[in-house]
Amino acid sequence: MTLRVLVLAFAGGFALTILVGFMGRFLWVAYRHGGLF
Amino acid sequence: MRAHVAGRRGLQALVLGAFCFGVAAAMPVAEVGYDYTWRDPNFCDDCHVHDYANERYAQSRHVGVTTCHDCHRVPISHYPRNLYGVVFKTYAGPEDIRTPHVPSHICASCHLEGHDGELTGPMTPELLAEIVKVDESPLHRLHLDAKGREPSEAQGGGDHEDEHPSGHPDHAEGEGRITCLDCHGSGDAEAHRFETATSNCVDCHRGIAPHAGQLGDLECRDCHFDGFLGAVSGRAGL
Repeated sequence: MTLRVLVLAFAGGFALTILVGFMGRFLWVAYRHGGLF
Repeated sequence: MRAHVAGRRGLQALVLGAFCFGVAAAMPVAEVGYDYTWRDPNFCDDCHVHDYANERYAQSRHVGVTTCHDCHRVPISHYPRNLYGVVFKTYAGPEDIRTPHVPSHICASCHLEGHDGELTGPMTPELLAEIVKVDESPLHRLHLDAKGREPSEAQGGGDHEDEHPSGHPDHAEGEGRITCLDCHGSGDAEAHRFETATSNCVDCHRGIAPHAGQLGDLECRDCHFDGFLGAVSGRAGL
């Protein structure tokens, strides 16, 4: 149980960082450059 | 009871530690992903297979200091649309692909004084400051300030069968102004060839093109180059 929670916490931190640090940053800069459409 | 609370706090600390460890582990991965998608031309090459353009770019002065995104500012919708195209469509060649539109204000962000564009490539502010600004070069100024696209008869204009042979998409805007790419990037085969050639001048100044026997072995730049770079008016070409 404890190990599963720890793995989930690690995965959550990892996924959140990828989402914000990569996808979010990419989309934000792309939006600033060219807009949505 | 106290042992239970201590155990719970210990677990919370462990979970928080695992979360932070996940964040720390993902940071370099996110950076690599961002670098690849935003600064590495291989990301664009995944869809845009154009060896001729890559070769030209590799020979140009832009290589290593600008990225695809610095000049080709596409909207976010470009990415899923292109992904769909790559997966579900078949492109026969460059003629099936729309010529990218690079408006003059993109060039201005580096090559004109006081035009700050958002550059996201490796260009440093120090290097940006060193780039020659063409505002005050007499012949660039003349072309930038021209109200129309047609040179006067004395400048070799007024005799055109086609409105403009190179047919760059900038012309479709109907702005009636000369754009940077009119001279610094003509047809598809010339993608990323930013140097001008006599053919670029002759596209508009057809009436005063050098002919065989009459300066025929000279390029326009041989005499008029100073006028496009120098900051002193009254020099060659004016």
